[in-house]
Amino acid sequence: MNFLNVHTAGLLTTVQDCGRPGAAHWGVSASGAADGLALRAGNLLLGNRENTPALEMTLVGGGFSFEAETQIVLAGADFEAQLAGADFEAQLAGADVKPWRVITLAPGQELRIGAARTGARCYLCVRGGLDVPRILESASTHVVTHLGGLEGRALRAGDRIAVGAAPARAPWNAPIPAWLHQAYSPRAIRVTRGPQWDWFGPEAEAAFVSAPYMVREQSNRMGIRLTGPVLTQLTDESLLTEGVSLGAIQIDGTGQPIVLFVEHQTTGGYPKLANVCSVDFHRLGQLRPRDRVQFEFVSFAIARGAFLEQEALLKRLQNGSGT
Amino acid sequence: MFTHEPPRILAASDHSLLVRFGTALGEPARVRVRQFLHALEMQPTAAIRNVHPAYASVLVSFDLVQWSLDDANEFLNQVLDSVAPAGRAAGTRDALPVEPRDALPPDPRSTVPPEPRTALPPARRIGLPVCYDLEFGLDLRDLAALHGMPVTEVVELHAAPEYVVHFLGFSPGFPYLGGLDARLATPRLATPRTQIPAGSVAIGGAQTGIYPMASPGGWRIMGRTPVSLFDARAWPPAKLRIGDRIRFEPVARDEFERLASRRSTLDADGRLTGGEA
Repeated sequence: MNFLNVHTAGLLTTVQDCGRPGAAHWGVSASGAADGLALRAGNLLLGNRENTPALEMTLVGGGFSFEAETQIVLAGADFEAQLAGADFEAQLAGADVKPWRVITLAPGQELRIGAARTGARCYLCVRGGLDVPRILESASTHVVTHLGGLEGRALRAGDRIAVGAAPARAPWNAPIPAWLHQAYSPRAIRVTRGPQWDWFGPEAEAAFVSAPYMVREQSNRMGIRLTGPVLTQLTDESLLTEGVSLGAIQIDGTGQPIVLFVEHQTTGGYPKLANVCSVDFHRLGQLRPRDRVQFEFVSFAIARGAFLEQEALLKRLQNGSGT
Repeated sequence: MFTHEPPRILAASDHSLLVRFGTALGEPARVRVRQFLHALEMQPTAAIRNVHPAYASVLVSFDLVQWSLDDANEFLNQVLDSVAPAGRAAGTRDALPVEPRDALPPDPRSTVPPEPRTALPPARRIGLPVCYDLEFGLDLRDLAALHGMPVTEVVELHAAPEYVVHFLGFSPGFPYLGGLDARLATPRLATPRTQIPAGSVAIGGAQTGIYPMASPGGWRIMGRTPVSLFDARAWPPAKLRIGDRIRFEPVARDEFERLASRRSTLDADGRLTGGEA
């Protein structure tokens, strides 16, 4: 049996999978990886199922080793990462570990992951996955409510987590497809109109896409708080609390947007001008404080078309050898 | 005869639709939300990811690979059709003929005749012990001062009504309760607390609710219940349901401690049970 050992844990490192849908009527939001595309792609590259639990690291990584030989992929943002120790792997020791590559770690060899060079979140995906108890059918940590993951909390030094059995499918051994890099290239985040868009009118809608917003420090997995052009409601109507969607862009009392993120409240009372498109959710997970983010309105049809295209590309990673 | 505003379905995002039963908080909307949820449960589909009920609406999010917004809209209209009486004109979203109601077991204290039964599962009557000690009721003194009444009267007014669970939302197992005495309506704290203790019973505006798990929050804290209302490892994890009628039963500190140490929770009939002594 193989185990992951945590030597240093970084700022906020949690176990995540694709989340816990199906519990919103109990007040439980889905949680899951903040960059679901990276988690899913990283897992597929290793031959895992896409929903396999992995570590989500935030802005700063940590030091990790495995008790048996283990294949891993770093997925998502480019974090400083090096292999240490284990002299017999000298050709790899000290070398940079690049994202999206399948890397083999010798038993006890420490992988040291430092600060993010770009983006905010990097996933340490493990062939066989991390084995933590499933809560409501998911391994995902809901940080705010201390649900799921490893004891409902962020990892700390000294933690030890079992690694699951390796899947039958072989890891990816072909070049990394270009679309995966393009999915993270800078571009405006696409949104569709939200349920209260008509409370704001054309001026606010134009203002919203007129200039970039800045990500505030108080952003987290619950919500991404933005500062930029003020969006004024046309009426003083107030909203009866209603259900909210992942990616909803609600406008608070000061006219500033908050993007509801993976650990969002299941219901809320702020009006919603827009909603981030599913195809761009992973980009939200890579925003860091003080980043500037530009929005762009698209139609519902374009939103779905782009999403289906991305899903089709992702599914191709299941073909193992890359053929 | 009571007539309803027809339900409206609108797009909330590329992967969710909002089904609205008017825009007013009240019994008609609450029961229609419950009927719609029940009808949804009767027609399970793998394409639906999450269902978020609220006062007068239900948000339904779905798998964007399996369904387009049009597919979801078509399905939800079918579900609405199954709630509405047979024989209504095709393609219309017309009114239900009579005021819908929950079925309730008789309340020996009630002077109102029992309600007629409907196809919905019966709602439950639940007595929930609450300790209103000042140590738990962090905002009791402020509330008393704001409303110009003694703390004892605030507690009496809060423990008097039978509340109804409109829905669970915000955070795990949190019930939004209707029926607060208007004299106790109080604006939320200007600055929310970063951590509210689990079991806190609180007032936010004209609503009252319970924080089953420790969480941040801006409601005014009145007291604390020793009863566990959410356990992610149990089934179902949330112990309260839409339509449940709740009475807060004031208990002294020693009774609170006794119930808390027994890990009290609610069984399927809404009765208090001690988990492990």
